[in-house]
Amino acid sequence: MKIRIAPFHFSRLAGAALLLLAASCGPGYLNRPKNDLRLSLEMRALNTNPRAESFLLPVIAPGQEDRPRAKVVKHEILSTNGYFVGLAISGGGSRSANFAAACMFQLQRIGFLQYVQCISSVSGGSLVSTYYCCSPDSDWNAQNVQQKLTTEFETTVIDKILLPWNFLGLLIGTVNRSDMLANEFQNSLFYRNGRALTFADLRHDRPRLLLNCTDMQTGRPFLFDNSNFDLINSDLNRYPLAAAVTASSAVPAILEPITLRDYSTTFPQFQHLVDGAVVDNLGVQTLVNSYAAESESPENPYPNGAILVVIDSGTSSNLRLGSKARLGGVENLLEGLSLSSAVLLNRTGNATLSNVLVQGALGDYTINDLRNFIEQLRSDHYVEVKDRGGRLVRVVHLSLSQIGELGGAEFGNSVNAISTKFDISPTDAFNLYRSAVILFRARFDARLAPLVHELGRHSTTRQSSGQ
Amino acid sequence: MRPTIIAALLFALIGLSGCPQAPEPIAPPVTSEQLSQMRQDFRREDHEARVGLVTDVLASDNLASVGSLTPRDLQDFTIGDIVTFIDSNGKVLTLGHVEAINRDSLTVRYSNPGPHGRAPVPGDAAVRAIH
Repeated sequence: MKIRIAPFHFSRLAGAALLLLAASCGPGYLNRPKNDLRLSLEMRALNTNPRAESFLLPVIAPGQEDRPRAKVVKHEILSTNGYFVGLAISGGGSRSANFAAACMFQLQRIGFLQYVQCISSVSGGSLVSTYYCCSPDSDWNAQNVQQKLTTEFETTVIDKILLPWNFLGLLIGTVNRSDMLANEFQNSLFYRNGRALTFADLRHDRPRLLLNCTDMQTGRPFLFDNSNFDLINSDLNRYPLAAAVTASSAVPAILEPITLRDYSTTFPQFQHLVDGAVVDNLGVQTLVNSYAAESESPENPYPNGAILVVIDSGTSSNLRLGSKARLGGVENLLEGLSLSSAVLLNRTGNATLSNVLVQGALGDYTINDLRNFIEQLRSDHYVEVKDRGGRLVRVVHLSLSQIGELGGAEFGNSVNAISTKFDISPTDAFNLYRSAVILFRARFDARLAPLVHELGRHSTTRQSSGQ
Repeated sequence: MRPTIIAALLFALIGLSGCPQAPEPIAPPVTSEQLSQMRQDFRREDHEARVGLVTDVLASDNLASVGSLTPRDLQDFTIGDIVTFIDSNGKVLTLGHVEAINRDSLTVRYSNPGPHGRAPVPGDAAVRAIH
């Protein structure tokens, strides 16, 4: 029996297929305009989300310096004890998300996390930083967080890509891998009471959140903050957190960039954002710049200096390959990508931390002093430097790479072998939590206890003196 | 219908449904030697780690009873402590938290296991290593 499709039916089928494709084809960006363009610059409302304030001026693309931009507004001063307490969280997929979460629970146990005012995160680290800043108290516990962050985001996306209609959509451009990943992040972490969480849902009693991306056009860092959204006349409070986290994690070539529509112009103009790790895999540069921007202002709210804690999930290279005689084509490609990205990110991370010390310290230090600081940070994972104003800046480097030295070679090797994908087994996640416990018991409980005491003493003094 | 169309439809159907996977066999119960070894390993890294054995499970309420703990070990637990269930191969099954501390055991409410885990059964180890 032959199936015959009459021309009439065929045109109907083709029409239905086109309608389906058109329905699945969104504008390609999720941000919404803030002001009507007919309003003059002075009349326009600005983004004033105190939880997404970096105090930094946006980076303008070359050739666009003369574009009109909204004025910068000064937001409330957030310090209650005269210290800038910042947390930087590195990239590294689910490995980073779980290790950072484990370290944050340790910081909470010793009473430090409660003093953190600002979190700057990159890529996988943005999953946990954003979840911390928007989740209710009842959800912020190790049991729930570990379960949520062991969701197989990457496998789910790959499974969906292999569905014929999605595969076809990918080929013709109506389906986007980054959008699919953002959907998975949203379903697991950023969805509550029947709606997607946005920047308006960031908790006011949690630290400021600075999500780091890289602008493909300028090759410079891009932050999801008030001033960057003012620049493109877009409403930050309506932007989905899951999309911002995906932008921070969008590894170039593997995922498509996340696009923002620039509503400051009448003609179509866009910004394309990729993984923040391309510029700074530790997120520490943003933290230092934000501290510098505020502390160098006349009403410096941080006379006591800064305490910066860097959670770095970079490890040494992949040790699993030693047990394999031959790598297949796909495995070769995946392992190659994983290895090169891990090595690149480690190099970027080390270089950035050193650069921050060199650029951020800059008191009257000699090159030799700076070299010693960098060496001290490598050996002690802690260093004290002075900023330009002579205030003390303490840097604590919570790096996963120390685990081989503290937890034994075998355990260290198993942790080193955890990949930087957005998939992680519960056993690997558990080992990352154990690693954090070992690091803190062996090294950082003692290192951070005096700092917690100092912060507590100043908080009490300022509160009792009515400041 | 042409055989090629039937073959293509069958191929698409198989592709969509995927190959059925056999469920992973449950690992044998943790032996007393393994339990001692686990205690030694966890305590070497962290002296506050505690390891017990699942002795009973009330699956309808996601509750597990954890025993093989000394009275001193039991005193170290507090309500809300996170417990990780592990099989004899060292694989993490699911997580739970302490709901009650009894005379010689703990009552732990465990979370629904993920796709690669399973609910604890008597003989699995219960570890407090995250605290």
